[in-house]
Amino acid sequence: MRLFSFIHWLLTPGEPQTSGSGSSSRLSREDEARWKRRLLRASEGDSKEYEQVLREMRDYLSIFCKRHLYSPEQVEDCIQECLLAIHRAKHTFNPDKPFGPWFFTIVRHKIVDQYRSKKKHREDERTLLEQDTLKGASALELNLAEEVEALLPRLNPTVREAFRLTRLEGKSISEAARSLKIGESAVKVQVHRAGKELRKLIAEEFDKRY
Amino acid sequence: MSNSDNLIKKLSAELKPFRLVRPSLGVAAQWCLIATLITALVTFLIAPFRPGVLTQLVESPRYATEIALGALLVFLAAWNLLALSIPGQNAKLIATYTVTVLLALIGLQGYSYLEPSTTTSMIGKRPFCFYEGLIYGFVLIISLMVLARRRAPFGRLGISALSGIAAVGITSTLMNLACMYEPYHIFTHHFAPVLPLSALALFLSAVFIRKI
Repeated sequence: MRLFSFIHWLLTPGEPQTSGSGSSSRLSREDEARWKRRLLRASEGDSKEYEQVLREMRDYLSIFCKRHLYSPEQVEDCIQECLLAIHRAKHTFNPDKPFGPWFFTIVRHKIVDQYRSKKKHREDERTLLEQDTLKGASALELNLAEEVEALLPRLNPTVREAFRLTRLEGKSISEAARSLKIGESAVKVQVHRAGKELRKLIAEEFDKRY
Repeated sequence: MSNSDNLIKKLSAELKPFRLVRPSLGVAAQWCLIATLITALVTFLIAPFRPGVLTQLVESPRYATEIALGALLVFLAAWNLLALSIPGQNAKLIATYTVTVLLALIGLQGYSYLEPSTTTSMIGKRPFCFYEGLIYGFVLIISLMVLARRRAPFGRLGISALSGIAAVGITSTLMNLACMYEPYHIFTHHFAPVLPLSALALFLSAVFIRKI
């Protein structure tokens, strides 16, 4: 529902539709008229009016951005980006037209930018995590292979050879059968038995250590 | 004191009196008029317009419609570009008109390729019409980029596409009046500059346009 209202908000030009927000996040007519008046005075160089309107916008944005962004850092970043964009675009507002569409277009673009940067940040994090996981997995596999190698001499010699050829050297069942000069089903049985014995030995080792 | 407090203080201290931009519609109309007049004058000074072009315009309504659609496309593309450079303007609606006119013009020109809208001949042939289109188009694109840069654009792709359409719209419409009328020649010499000019517009927008 939240996603739907966000998409609707993206597609709807002008004032956003905030779900269940009541009137607190809407820009009232009084606010619009006051901000327009202040910006008009700012266009004549009145820096006090300009500072005041930016402060009012900041207060409004701090509530508004919290509805769409989750982390406080992102909210603060977004507020600053919005204020900078408003500063750069201040000469494009039209006093004869509603203030809301102008203001919310800038804010919407900056919130979307925040979403994009957040998404990129998440992707970077995921890539790093995947790399770490791969490293971890290969280390674990390497460790386990060493453990199995160490346990191999304790296996019955007939099953050990079948296991070594098929599982460690990567030969097929038929190739192993030809090397051991036994039938293919016999190789399968021996590999199965070797696996069973190894599991038992690994469990014993685990019990001894921990 | 929070970071935004510092930012507000800094921005207010930097404030200088500024002039609000004029409405897009008026600026677009003004740009179209000036750009068309100057391009037409330069075209005329390099070589005269095709003899009998006015008679062809009067006698062939389809030919006159092609020219009128070209002019309308230029105006809509310029208006759309300027509206796109101002936050909160309904540029999507203007874009719908622009695309509609563009498609109508493409359809009409395509039909004229099969069934010429007026008498085909080599009268008025300009030896360098392709290069004229490129050079005029380049200057027109730059002028539009400067106008867009003075506003507050959010994206570069739309600006470059629309500046390319507007610039090629002016040059091709003028060349269709000034140069010989032959549908194949129109496609290969009058409309073809749209390809290099679009690439150029993309490059220029990356250089000129600073996203707010």
